[in-house]
Amino acid sequence: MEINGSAVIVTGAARGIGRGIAEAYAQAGAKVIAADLGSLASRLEADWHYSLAARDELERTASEIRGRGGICTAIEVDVSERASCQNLVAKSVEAYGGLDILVNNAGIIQTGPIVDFAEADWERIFAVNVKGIFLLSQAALPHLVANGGVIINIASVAGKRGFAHMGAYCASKFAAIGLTQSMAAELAQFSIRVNAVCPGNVDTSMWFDHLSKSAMRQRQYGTNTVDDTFTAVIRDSVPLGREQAPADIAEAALYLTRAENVTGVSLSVSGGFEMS
Amino acid sequence: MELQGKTVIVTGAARGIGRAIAEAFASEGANVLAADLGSLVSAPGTDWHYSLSAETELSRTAGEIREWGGICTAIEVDVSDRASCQNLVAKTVEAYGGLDILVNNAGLIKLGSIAEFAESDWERIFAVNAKGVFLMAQAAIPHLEEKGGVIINIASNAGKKGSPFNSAYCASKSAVIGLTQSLAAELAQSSIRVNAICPGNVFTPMQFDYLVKHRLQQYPGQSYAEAFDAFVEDTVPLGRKQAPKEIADAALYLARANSVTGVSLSVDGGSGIGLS
Repeated sequence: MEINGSAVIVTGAARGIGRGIAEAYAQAGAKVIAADLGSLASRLEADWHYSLAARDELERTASEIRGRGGICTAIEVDVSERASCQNLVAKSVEAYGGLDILVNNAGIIQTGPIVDFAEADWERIFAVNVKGIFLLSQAALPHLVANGGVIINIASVAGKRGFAHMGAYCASKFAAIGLTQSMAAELAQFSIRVNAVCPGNVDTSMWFDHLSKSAMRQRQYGTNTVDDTFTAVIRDSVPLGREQAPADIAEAALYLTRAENVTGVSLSVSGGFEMS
Repeated sequence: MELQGKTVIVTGAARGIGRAIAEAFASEGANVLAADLGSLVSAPGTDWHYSLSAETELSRTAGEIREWGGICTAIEVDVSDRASCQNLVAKTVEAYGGLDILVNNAGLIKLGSIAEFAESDWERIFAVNAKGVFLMAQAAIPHLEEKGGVIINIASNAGKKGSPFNSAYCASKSAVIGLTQSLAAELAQSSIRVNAICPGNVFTPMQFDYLVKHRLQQYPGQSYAEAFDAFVEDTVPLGRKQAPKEIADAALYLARANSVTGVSLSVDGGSGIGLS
């Protein structure tokens, strides 16, 4: 698909990987809807163990993209809620006259031993990481069917391999890959392609505000700061010896958007992490 | 990796997928070594069940690339022969002062029931499809190590899933994927990335001269081209064949994707959904 002039929704776009993806599409000439919790982050049910993107982060991301000449509109969404997903798609179509590409990037994490993992945390992780893809795809499909669209789900290397203390997150990301394959098989008849990107270790809030602290608590790496922990993980576990940048993930998304004969794949961008 | 000015060897470059890969790298400004059997096709032991690329096809491919301004040199190689691989790499380094990218694309096929499959056909398929990757990689690695190079192996969906009457080819392509993962893990410390592409159904001479004749009897009364199109419409989720250029696009992506190693990327219209 030609990206210039196409309309794309990116969820979780306020920061991190989602922001990198939104920037890349805008740079390639797409009309971008940057979607994230925004003010919805302060609702009780959206509360989480680390700080999710704040309202001003979403606005700032969108306005910085516009400042560089990109086309970008910020819209608030809670992907775990049907009405919110439908509102997002309706507003996107209203703003740009259609929808061509959906990038399901929003995701959350909580780690901990399975034995006392809170059921509520399990529910929320699945609500965002898996049901969010289902709900937003369902909302987007009537519009994608019209012109043969593209869905890209940001899964994880944790969707290809299990990791200790990551049962809920890994199961949710395995589910995202299963959903990717099923939708790819089902929607091919409408020329809608569905693929996943599986990032490895990216310098994001999810990593620094949660994973590093969790790894430090477990004393897995004998480190005392989040920076040292991240560095130790990269050094010990990534064959190529370096972290992935949001731009690396965004390049994979652009490739998959353009690759007219690729559907149902889960492309790892991880420096070989899942082989280690 | 920036491709402009880089030096790339493409084996099996006389025609089909290899030719498209050579053209794509040349159009990005790379120095291309188009390698194929050339006159070696008539050497003892290279005889095969369908016509391998003719002596003149290799020089014609290189000549046509040069005609539109690409940088391309044709060199003859039999990838199953160690000395021939080393000669190819030595001549490449002599011509362009180094080597950055190796695309192992040369391959051959023969179908047949396992009960009566000729041992010599088994040997030849493994000699080209699997050992050829080993020998070329071994010859190239000393040069790739200097600046962190890239190896791209053209495997196949047949390397992810077996199919009847295709044992030798499937086993050889499975071996290529295993070798890709092992090389990726081993060479990451030298910043050499190793990935595979798994094409689905591409209408190449391998298909035209061999596969269609042996597998598509269920489409009687049609030309081979028609039978092939009917076959992909019936069996490929996206309903169309893959163009050699689409495999080349994947190769360009993987050559540039600095954090991707060890993957086997299917470009198959969804034929391989669920295979990993």
